[in-house]
Amino acid sequence: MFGFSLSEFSRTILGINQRNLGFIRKLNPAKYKRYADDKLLTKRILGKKKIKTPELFKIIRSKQQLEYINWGALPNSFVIKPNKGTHGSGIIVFYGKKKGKLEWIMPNMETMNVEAIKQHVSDIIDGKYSIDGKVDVAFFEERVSNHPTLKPYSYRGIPDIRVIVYNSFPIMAELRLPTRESRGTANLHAGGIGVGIDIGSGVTTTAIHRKGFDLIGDRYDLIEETLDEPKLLLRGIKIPYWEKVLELAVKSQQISKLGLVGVDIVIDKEKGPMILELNARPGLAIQLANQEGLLLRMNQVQRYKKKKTVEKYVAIAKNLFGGEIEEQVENLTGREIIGLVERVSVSPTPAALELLKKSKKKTVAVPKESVKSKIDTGALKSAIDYNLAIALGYKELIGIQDIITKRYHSLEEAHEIREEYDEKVRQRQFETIKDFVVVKSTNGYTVRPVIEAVITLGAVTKTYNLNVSNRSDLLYPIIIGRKDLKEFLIDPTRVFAMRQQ
Amino acid sequence: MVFLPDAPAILLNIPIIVSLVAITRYLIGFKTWKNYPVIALSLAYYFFYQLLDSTLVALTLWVLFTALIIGTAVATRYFIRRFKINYYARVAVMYLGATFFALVAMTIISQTPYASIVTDHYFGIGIFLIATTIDELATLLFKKDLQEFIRRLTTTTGLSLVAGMLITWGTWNTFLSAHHEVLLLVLIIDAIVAFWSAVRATELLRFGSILKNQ
Repeated sequence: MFGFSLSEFSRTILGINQRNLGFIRKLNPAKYKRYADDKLLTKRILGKKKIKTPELFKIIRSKQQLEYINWGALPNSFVIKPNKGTHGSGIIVFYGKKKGKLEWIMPNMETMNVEAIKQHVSDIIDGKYSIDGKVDVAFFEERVSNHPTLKPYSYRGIPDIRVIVYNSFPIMAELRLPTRESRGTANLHAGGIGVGIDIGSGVTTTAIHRKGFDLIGDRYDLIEETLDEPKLLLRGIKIPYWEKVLELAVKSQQISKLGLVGVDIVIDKEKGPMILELNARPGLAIQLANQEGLLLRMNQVQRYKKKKTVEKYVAIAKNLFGGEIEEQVENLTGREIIGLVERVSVSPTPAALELLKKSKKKTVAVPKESVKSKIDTGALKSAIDYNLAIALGYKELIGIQDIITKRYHSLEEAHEIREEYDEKVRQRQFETIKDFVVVKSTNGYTVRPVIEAVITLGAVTKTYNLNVSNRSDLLYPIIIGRKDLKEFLIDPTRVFAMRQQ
Repeated sequence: MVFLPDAPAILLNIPIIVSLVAITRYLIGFKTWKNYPVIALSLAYYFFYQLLDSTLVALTLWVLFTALIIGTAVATRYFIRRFKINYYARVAVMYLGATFFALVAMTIISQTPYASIVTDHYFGIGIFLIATTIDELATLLFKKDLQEFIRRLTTTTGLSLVAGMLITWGTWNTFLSAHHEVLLLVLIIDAIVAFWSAVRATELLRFGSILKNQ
């Protein structure tokens, strides 16, 4: 009916009811939610832990206080914010000051004089923008300078990065870009652009922009380019300081003691990443920007135990949720990206299995082992551990165990043995051993039988020729050499990079 | 089961209206602006209905005065938005604007054969109830943008009309008066809604594209 199954939807997508009842009520106690709702308190708490936030210029708690402000002492650019505002309401960014006048310039190039600013601050104090409608406090803070990487993509405003952190794992991130339509604010609801970010690489993926009026709520179109001139491709932007951004988000979440939090981060061109605010009720449109469900990711991190360091949480998240960019590379090259260690499943070839059945004179189940394999571009050929091969049913190897374990000091001696056994292969004395090869190692030479086995690595299942050697003292029972890696691209920074097929 | 035989059905309808608001929000995904405007607007419909015991009259007066009062309140706010005046004073001016235009409309109606309606105290209570929603709707207008305001206003007025028709439905009220145990059923429904953590219907439309695109 909907074009997708309801059970898949409820397994993948986080809805607002579940966010509230299942996560916020359980993980975000009212006391800590109040801290996040109070921007000044958030600043103070984060500041104590040496986490950077934009510099605070002035706090205005009453209308009387407005009469004693030295307006001339205010900098040319600054931001006015309500302490308990929501959805960016009541925030005004001033970019510059009119020469010789007490008038400041807004993103839409209109100006505000002292009287207009006083009125706006009065509205904030009256609670016009506050989350609970109660009396509020206004404050003036530093305007962040746009980072040169992100500046071309944002229309007269500062883009921010929203990172959803769940129990210390940064599970999803989104770059929010101001547009002409959003009047320079990075608010998606107001017309800003939301761009999904690949957690693993910090590179942007898919982007969304709000559709026109819709009675059922905000709905979004997928877009490829910025809305304002010059039109720039939104996919592939590398977020500066990505590692730091993720670490900062996790640290802030841990300090806030909120289990599920949206951390808003801005990147200043000189000071680097800074925390803008924490959101105890993060919005769900980030799922559309990333074209991924939050719930699925939350379930994925649930199996991990508490880690000691922020770096470990970040590393796990990068490993788990990175992959968008790899997918694009895979689509372009037709090759799958793998790390230096991957899990493979290995089983005998149909011919070897037939022999096994004959020897047992009854039906046998296909022996299949799932093992870690080393992706070794330094080795030409692939290899398998003797014991693993025996477990898979290659019993002929037992008869030549001493050949496999013996080391020869001269190449000639090793070749003599190899030729002797190759002759036996030619005379069909072996049924599962296809060849013998001489391999040079640090302690001399070894003669190794070659068997065929079926290995599944990622999406590729094929028959490999495997040298048999004793690898019982080594970490990986299988080595995949470069001869068998033509279908793959190798990312040396990762292990177990392969997605489950 | 009847607790009090002569208990007014209107009283028993209040928790049902509020349950409707909760169902609309948590199961369907349409947000009203709090409970009060829905109750006030549906009660206004109830009082208009009492004038001539006519759905047509109630519907006409309700649509006319709801649109007029809310419309003029919003328009007043629009016209005074440039004046830098204090927040609560601004809301007070909105009330004044809406009341003035309601008065003009009543004066016009008083020149028609329906003159007796506008002097009836039920009519006065109906108008009063509609006007009391201005404060909540003004807050909505200040806090949300125009799109969200229209969205919530549509849901609020739509649900109010449904609720208004329900509380003036004779058969329903007779049934409710004779079976107070309906409130027990309402309690069960409230409990289900209270623990409902599954998706809202509108979320299937909002987020379904994620699964479709995969």
